[in-house]
Amino acid sequence: MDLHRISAKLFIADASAISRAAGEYIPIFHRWIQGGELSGLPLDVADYGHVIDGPGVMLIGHEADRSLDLADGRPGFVYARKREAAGSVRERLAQVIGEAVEGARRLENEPALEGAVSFRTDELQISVKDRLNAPNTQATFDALSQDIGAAISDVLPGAAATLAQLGDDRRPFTVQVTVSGVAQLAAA
Amino acid sequence: MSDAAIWKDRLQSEMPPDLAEEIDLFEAQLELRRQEKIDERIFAETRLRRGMYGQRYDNGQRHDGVDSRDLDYPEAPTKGPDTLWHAPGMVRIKIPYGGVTPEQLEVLAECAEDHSDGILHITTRQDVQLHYLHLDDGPTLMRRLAAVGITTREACGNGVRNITGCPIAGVCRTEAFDVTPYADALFRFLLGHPDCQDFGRKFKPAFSGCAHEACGLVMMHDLGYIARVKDIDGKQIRGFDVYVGGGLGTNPYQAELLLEFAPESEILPLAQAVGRVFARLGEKKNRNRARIKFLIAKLGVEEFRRLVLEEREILPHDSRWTDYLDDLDSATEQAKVEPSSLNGAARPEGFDEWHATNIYKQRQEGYVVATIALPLGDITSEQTRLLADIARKYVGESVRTTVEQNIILRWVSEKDLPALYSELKAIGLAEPGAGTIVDITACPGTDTCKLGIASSRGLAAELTTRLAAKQYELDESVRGLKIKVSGCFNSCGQHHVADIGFFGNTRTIDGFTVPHFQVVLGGRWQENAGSYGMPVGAVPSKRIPEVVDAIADRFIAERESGESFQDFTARLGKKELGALISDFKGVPAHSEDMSAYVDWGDSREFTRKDMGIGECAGEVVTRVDLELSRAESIAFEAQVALDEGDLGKADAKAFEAMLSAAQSLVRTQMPDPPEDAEAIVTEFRERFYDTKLFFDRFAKGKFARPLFERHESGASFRHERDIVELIENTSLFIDAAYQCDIRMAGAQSAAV
Repeated sequence: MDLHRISAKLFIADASAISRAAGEYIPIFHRWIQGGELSGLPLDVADYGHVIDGPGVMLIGHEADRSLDLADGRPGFVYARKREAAGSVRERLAQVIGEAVEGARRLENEPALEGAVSFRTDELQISVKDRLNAPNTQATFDALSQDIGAAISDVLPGAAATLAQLGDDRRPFTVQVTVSGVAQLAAA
Repeated sequence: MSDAAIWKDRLQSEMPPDLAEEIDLFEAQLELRRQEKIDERIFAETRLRRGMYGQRYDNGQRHDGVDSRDLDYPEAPTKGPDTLWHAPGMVRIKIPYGGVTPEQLEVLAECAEDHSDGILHITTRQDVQLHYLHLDDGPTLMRRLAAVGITTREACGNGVRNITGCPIAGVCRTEAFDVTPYADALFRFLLGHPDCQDFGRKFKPAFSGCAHEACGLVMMHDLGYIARVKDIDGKQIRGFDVYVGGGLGTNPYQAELLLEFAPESEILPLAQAVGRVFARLGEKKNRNRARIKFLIAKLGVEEFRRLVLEEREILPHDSRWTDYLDDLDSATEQAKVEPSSLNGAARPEGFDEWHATNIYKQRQEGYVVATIALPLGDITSEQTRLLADIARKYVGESVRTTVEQNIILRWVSEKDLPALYSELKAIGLAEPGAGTIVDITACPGTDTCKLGIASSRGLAAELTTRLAAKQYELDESVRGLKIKVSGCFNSCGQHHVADIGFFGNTRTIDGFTVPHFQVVLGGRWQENAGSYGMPVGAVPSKRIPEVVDAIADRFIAERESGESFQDFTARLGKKELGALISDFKGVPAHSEDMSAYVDWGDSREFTRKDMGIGECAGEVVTRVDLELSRAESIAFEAQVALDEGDLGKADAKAFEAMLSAAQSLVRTQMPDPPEDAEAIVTEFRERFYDTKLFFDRFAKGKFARPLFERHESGASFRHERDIVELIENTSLFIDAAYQCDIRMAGAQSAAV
């Protein structure tokens, strides 16, 4: 299975911390671009904060997008790989999860947010937006479960993961991961 | 097998053959460009003609608020002049007259999710746009769309763009008749039509069912049809008033009447004749003067009319002109649910406000149109998928996009409205205020457009937020006003036809660039975009909300009884309106308050350095260049077939490529070249071989002989090496055709 369009979402612990002004993430993401500290090639910031339960504020990149995501009414940080990635599927999953954790950690430490945002360490969501190679079926779930579990352990040592497939076959392949054994992202 | 090849294999039988062939050709052109075997300008135009557009920063430069930085993409050929291959782009997807089915919505949603950023953007011409798309994904995306009958062909570039139409055609209370089947027929007829391949600029047609409403905004279109029924000898005969030469942009023109009451059987050949005249006489080099409106202004509409009618007389008959008329009734939509009334039904919270603005009573008793007001024309993939479910449940197939960047559901049985509202609300699609001052139209502007000067979407979002907060307190006369915002003078936000319009520009204040919007007041949306607003002055972007308040307050205070906003602004005049906004032209010094020097929705200090060269004008590429490029793609397909061991296909494709190249040369002397091989070869031989026009200085007529030999021998190859040789000779033939065209062009300019 040759997968690239893998994404990982970490959820913000207190959804009310995201006020109406998802727009406050616009300057943060611009600063991240200016700082030149992100991996890959970040390009621009796209604001979809006006769309209910949408992708929120996106930091568009060449290889991957990052976003303050508002989908399903559950704000979170998403790292979504778009272009080809190297390594095995497990390594690609680990890279994506690692980038999501890194991004969430950055937001937790973002001075402009004054510590208002923290992320849940007991769950995350993995999606694959590739209906050709990863339709949202039991077969895909069976084929990827082991790699997802292993990738989580690679990124969050000591974490135990329980996986549950979400949605129907019209939606992208999505797995809800319940995690135990991780106290805080900063320590991860 | 690559993902693209698997998609192709999987969808091959589901795509209409002509669309499938077009996509194969484009895929071949992509590969040729990757190998740098096609010139970047020619590739850019072929890409645009497949709907694949550039986006801001695709020249590899972006100002990040501190400095202009290089965007360090991987090495690759360009995909157009100063346009990097790996830079994300936009794809524009044609939705003729806005008609879209639930199945199509689902595929659009999937494509947005798998290839883009999960957002579908409805444009001011009823298209759908996906942004941040990689060029490499183009063919797969096109195949997925083609499999459900959607095309991106000619959505951009110098061709016939989407055909827009009144979204309530067929259910409207005041229309002459349903224009849907006519718009559909014209769309199919003109798509890829040979007579529409040599325009100097884009060409936008529109259909309206009545003259007095906004409908299809005919008066601002290159070609427009307004439905009319005429009593002739006691019979009710259908026809159209035909208009030409409208357009917005820096020089807005109102369309002029080309023909009063053209019979329905004449609208397709008339379009073809208009296309021929435009292709023949329209400006090709100066893109700023290449729209048909300039040609008509230059010739005068009387002369243009004479030329069109003359052309119409000599058009070879085409059965498609009238074939569809036998089947007009099949276009009539069937309601999914029995008609009913709303009386007595329980109304959920918020329903009454939504009902007051988002519902239009159809002429069919018991049915209504429900408008889904999309913020800035955006809808997520998930919302789109769920909307498809809702549509299936309540209206079946009857969904349309609108030029106000919304989606409508037609044929809703009235008793279903409360349940429909609740289901739309659950997915965030039940915002009230459709068609009112809070339902603001905006082009992409600086968010993604290379030409954008100021943030149209940022301003529209800000105004929407502010106005929505007080919409129920607003005076009724103000609530009905329309606001439209363009990021620059090109007018994609259609600001000319808004009550209150804005387009982006800049001013330099104390050496700093400040984003501004020009204020344009009093445009007429009704009467098919019946008149354009008057520019009254530029105001700093950040002060526009104050301007809107001031204009609204003045209108409420000084409006005479029953006076429209258009009449009010005309009465006040430019001078008075200019004085009204003059209070808002100042901004604090840069050193005191930076906010005016930063545009809406952004945090970087404003700059114009990110503006690029727009692609909406297309490339100045001759038709011969494009057709020879197409022949190269067919030759490439021959090579692919050979590599796959399919010798028969390789032979046929190589011959087709040579015929295509020969035909393109013949067309330079013969506007309607033949289509069959025998006649193409004969014409080519007489016009280019016998005359020695095709002859190379050293090789003489050598490169033409493989065409003649293959034509005479038929598909009689014996060995693989015969095909290898034929493909090599095909490449040489196409090269020689390019050289021949260059020599002819040189001789022509020398003669001038």
